[in-house]
Parts: sequence; C-alpha cells; structure tokens
Amino acid sequence: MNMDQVLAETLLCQECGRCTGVCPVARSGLGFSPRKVIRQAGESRTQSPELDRALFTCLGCDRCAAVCPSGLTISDLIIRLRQEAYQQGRTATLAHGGLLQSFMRMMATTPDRQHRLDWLDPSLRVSTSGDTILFVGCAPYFDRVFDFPGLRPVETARNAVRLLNRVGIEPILLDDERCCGHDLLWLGDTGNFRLLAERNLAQIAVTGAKRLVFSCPECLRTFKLDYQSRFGKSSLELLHISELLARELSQLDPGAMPGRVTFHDPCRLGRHLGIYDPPRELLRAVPELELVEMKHSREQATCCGGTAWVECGTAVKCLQNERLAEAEATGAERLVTACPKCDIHLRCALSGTDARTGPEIVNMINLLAESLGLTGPEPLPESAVLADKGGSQDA
Amino acid sequence: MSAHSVVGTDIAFRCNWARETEPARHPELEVVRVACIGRIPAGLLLQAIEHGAGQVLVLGCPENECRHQNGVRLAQVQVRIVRDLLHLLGLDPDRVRLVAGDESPTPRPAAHPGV
Repeated sequence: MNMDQVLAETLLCQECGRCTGVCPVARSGLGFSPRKVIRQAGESRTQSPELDRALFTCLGCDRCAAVCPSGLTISDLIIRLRQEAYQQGRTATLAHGGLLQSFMRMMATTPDRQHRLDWLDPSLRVSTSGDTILFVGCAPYFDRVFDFPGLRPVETARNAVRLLNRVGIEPILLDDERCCGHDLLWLGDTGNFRLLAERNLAQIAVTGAKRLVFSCPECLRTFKLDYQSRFGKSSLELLHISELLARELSQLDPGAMPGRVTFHDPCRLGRHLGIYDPPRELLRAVPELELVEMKHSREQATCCGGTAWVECGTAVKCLQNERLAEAEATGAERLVTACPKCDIHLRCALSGTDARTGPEIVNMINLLAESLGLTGPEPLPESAVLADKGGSQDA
Repeated sequence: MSAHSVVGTDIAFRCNWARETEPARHPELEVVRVACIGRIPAGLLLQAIEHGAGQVLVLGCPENECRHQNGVRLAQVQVRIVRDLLHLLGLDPDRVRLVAGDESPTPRPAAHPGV
C-alpha cells in the first residue's frame, strides 16, 4: 500500500481510543498515543516534531490492531510514516551505538561472502539439497554482540538443527544468508531492505527447496507478510519451527523434565502471524513439565519491549520489568520464549544494574533440546560413519 | 559522519592521555582525539568501516597505564566485537585494531579471533 492508501484507511478510525487504552507505550505516560498518531498523520505529518518523537517509540506490537473495531493495523501506518521520515533524514535513537543496524546494512551492500556457518559441527546433519531450508537469521551475529549469562544464540541455532535432525530432516543452510531486513524495514530504510530481500530470495530460488523453516518469528513475519506483499507470492511453504515440530510430535518424543514454565508469546509470532498453539503443544508434550499462563497471554501478551534496536528507554524498561513480574507471579521457574530477540531483551532486563531475581529466560528450542538430551552432539545414525574430527567444534 | 567523507581514509581514535606514539604520527592517518577510548562503542567503529574507512585504529596506553584505569580493557571488548563481526561479514578483521602503547600500526597477518 502506498501512503495515500494507508491514510485513506485511517479515515475508518472511529476515535474510540481502544488502541491507546491497550498500548503499552502509551501507558508509560511519555506522550505516545496510537490514536493521536492517526489523527496527526492525516493533518500535519511533515512538520510535527511531536509526531516524529512518537513515531519511533511504537514497538509495532499490534496490541492496538487486536482491539481496533475498524480492523486498522496501525503499525502499517507507522512503517509508512517511518519510511517518509527516513527519506527526509530523520530517524530513531539507535540502541547499542547503531552497531546492529550497521552490520545489517553491510549485509545488504557488501559483496563479500560471509563466514556465517562457522558454528556448524560434524554432528549436525545438514544437506546441500532437499526440501527444507532452515533460515538461521542473525544468531551468529547476536552471538558476538551480546554476552548475557546463559545466552548462546549459536547454540540455539545448533539445537534447531538437532531438533530437525531428530524428526528426520536434514535442512539446507544458506552459507551466505543475509539478514531478513525486518529491523531496517521497521526503521523506514526500504532501500537496504529491498537489497537484503533480493539477495535472500535469489539464494533460496536456486536450492529448489519446497519449504522454509524459521527459528526467528521476525524473519518469518518478514518473509510471510513483507516479502510476499512487495515481491510477489512465494511458492514455498513458510513456517515457524514450532509449527513443523508440533506436526512431528510422535517422532520428537520429548523426555521428562520436571518443573513449571510459562510461555511468552512473541508479538511477531502471535498477533502478527496468529501462531499461538504450536509452541504450547510442544511444551505440553514434555512429560512432567507444567505450562502455566501469565496474566497477559496469547492475543493480550505484552511485548518484550524491543523492536528494531531503537528507543530503548523508560517505557521499554517498565514494560520488561512488568513482564518479568507477571512471569514470576505464575510461580514458573522458567520463562520460555520462541524469539531470539525476546530472549535477549528479557535477559537484559534481568541483568541490569538494578538486577532483580526472576525466572530463568529460555528459548523454546533450547528447552526442547534439553528435554531430549540433545545439548551435546546428536549421535550419528549407524549408516553415516564419519571420521572423527576431534575438537573441530571449538575451532 | 555523513558530512565528512572517510572513504579510503585510515582513522585512529586516540586517547587524549596516550603518549605520542609512532602509530599516531602516521601521515596518512586521520586522528580523532578522544577523552577515553573505552567510550568508543563498537557501533562507531563498525560504522567507520561501513562508511568506507580503510583501517580503524584505537590508540591507547599499555593496559596497566590507563589514566581511567579500565579504558583499555573496555576498548578491548568493543574492538573484539567489531573484529568478530567483520569476520562474519567476510571482511578482514585486521581493519579494526587496538594498539596499546608503541606497537607498530602496520597490519599484521594476525590470527583471526575465532568464533
């Protein structure tokens, strides 16, 4: 949709204010209000410093979209307004010194072949041809940037491969996969977003694969909604790893794991794509593991507080602390999420200088691998006798 | 950074308190004096490369002579992050280096940081 179409849609707004009522950023009292954004966008968007400030604090969590009686997706308007702002040289306050956006833009423009699969080890069975591609996402990059205790994004990537191996799938990994472009798109940088999308789609096309499995909900959202609406419908089946594994539960056969957990719905997986049940089915399939729900779950789940690595401030920290308190109130020892970014953001909140105790944060993929005893190398099938490569895992 | 092209330039972020060492006198080097190299984030170093800088050096004192006590150690963390990211991106990690003391600024065929 172009800007005129998006603005025309906002005329459906009934000014009921339910969006602002549920908006987690509006609640922080810092001046952001989805209803106000809609009104200002139609009036004086080119010269409104107030709108500018508000524009980049939106998390795109779509809690507003879930309650809008007119069915408006306000985040679509936000993305369009950000594109306009970006073209005029206005942008958000970038977290982490702009490091993440910088390597994402470099992935869009550098001709050099990446070294992004160094984390593979001989026990992980991957293939160069077949039906299924595993889209790894930015895990190898996050692994070098963040060092919160217990966080190992590449171990999550390894576990994703181990889980697929467990259900009989040897996935294709793209050795020069690029960032999906989610964060740059949500910042309004459509030029680099397009370059990233083109590079990914070209690599995927030559594999001849039939389905694309994602461990990151943001990548899935971007492929399913943003790539398809901009670059045409994909003939591949696009699915989150939880959807695939939930179908193969009998083969997965998780082992017992006594304890109580709660599930944090990532915005992109839940409200954006409507995937609520597969992760829960997987957790319920683990013997002796009790799944309890937080006060806000499924369609009402609150956001982890971070989108596109920008505007990390008071509103975000309040949101994260509220979420951790909700998890704690359930009595769960672990908060399970299915998104690598929720994993990072909630760990950050836990490990701040005013560190609080709270549930342990764990990615669903790692929890399942743990229940299966897959934390080390998966035993190789008898037919595939490989030479022992010694300590190559640590190379 | 957009106001001033850095394409092809070698840049050094140099601690204000560091001795005038050989690396900082390199005629081709654009030196930016900073109050503490520990305050130069990885994002700034990577953006210098992104915007076209050839090499980016971070110049400080030997670790045990740091005026701010832990400036060099903080810089080591940031430089290591950027070097790791450059390797992932398929670029030469040696384009970003921390030089603490009198080390030579010429690129070494250094061992890659590893993953």
